[in-house]
Amino acid sequence: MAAEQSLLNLKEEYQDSLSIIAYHLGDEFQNEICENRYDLYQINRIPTAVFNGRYKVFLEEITNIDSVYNYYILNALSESTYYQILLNPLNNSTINLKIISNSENPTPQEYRLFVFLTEDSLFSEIAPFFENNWVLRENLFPLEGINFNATIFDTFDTTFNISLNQRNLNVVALIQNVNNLEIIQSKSLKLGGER
Amino acid sequence: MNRLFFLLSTLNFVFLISCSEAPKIEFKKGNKKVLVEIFTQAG
Repeated sequence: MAAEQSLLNLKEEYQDSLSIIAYHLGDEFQNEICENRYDLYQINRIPTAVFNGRYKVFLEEITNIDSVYNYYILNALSESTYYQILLNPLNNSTINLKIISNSENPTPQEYRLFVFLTEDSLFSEIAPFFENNWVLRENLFPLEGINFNATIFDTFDTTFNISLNQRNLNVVALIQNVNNLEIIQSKSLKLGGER
Repeated sequence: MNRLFFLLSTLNFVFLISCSEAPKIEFKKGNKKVLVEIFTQAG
């Protein structure tokens, strides 16, 4: 699939500046988180890409997908934010999530913090020869996220009860404005395995 | 002598003006990272 290869290239190019989550629908990787995000963005057809929560692009109609991805990614990278997310592995099963706010209260908004677990190198029964990456597997915080008090310095610690050596997992943390769905900041960390 | 006095007074005035400005507190903004959320199906 062109979109998948394009994302792999972009991840290689933008490295730490780019996080990806793939919500699957209509195969065995579909779960309530995928359905929840599908409803949140009012998606009505797949494949669709959403950039920083604001720009929806239906990928089926696009001929030059690399240009479209680059356009929206470069636009998003030119924006600035008051928030920084740090993800640091403390040991094989514990990840430290730290959020730094550089402002006392720049724009009072209702923000929610989501932390998801995604998995690379998965193969589906319906397309057994196609490798699926960034597949959303679990939510580490409640499905609806948690209220994020943006005015103070916060630190969160989460423990994973899984064998990291056997799976290619990524933690993705994101702060989202619940009113306009804009992603205020995001960060991903690859936990184990090499692609 | 008068010219020297005038010059020193002017420099002093400029110095006082430059010191009297309250320091501005600017909150730093950092770069936003990009999150691409793909809604898809295997294959």
